[in-house]
Amino acid sequence: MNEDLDNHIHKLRLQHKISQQELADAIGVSRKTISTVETGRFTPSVVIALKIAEYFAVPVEQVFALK
Amino acid sequence: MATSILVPPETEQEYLTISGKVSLALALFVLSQVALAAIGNTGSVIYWALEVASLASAIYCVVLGIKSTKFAKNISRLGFWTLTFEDEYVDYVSSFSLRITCHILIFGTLILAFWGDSRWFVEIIAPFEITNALQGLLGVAAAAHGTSILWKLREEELDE
Repeated sequence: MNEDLDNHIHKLRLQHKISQQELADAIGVSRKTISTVETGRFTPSVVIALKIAEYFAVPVEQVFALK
Repeated sequence: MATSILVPPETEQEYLTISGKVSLALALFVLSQVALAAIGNTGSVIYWALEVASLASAIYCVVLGIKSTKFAKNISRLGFWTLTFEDEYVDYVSSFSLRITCHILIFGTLILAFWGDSRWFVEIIAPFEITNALQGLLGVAAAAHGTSILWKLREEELDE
């Protein structure tokens, strides 16, 4: 787990009313990837971070931030 | 990056899960062989139970091995044999489990390579022989590989 990284994927998902599976399908990863990133147990690559940000149409800093 | 063709992430996850189960079945088979060698009393209930466990794990291993071949057409040859995946988390789990296995094998092999025929080592592992020690090392490594995969890919509550 990365102690320095915070993310707002859960909040963004709730705002957009989409499930982990729907987000996973949209950016082409497994639901497990989304759930572990969301809970902070897995730090994704820059590519996935940018894809998530692009999906929610927000800057990547609004999805991931240093604590 | 793996050179596989576009494969659904769930397919990769399913293949890695089967690989983990194969490792656990292999571990059970090898470790039961070690235990059988140690027991010696062929008429005991434990011996019989271990033989059943050994046979069942061998059959399960073969069944899973056959089942895994259906993934060969979906995952590139490189990914199929080296357990490299496109999905980041699945690839991370695969690398993590292989790293643990590698460390166990290196550590165990170093001990066996340098002290395997030493008198003190032979006395410590008695009634096991050096072959049993190698089987035990293989079993522990396979168990670590399978357990780490299945633990990291375990089903959790959907947080929708």
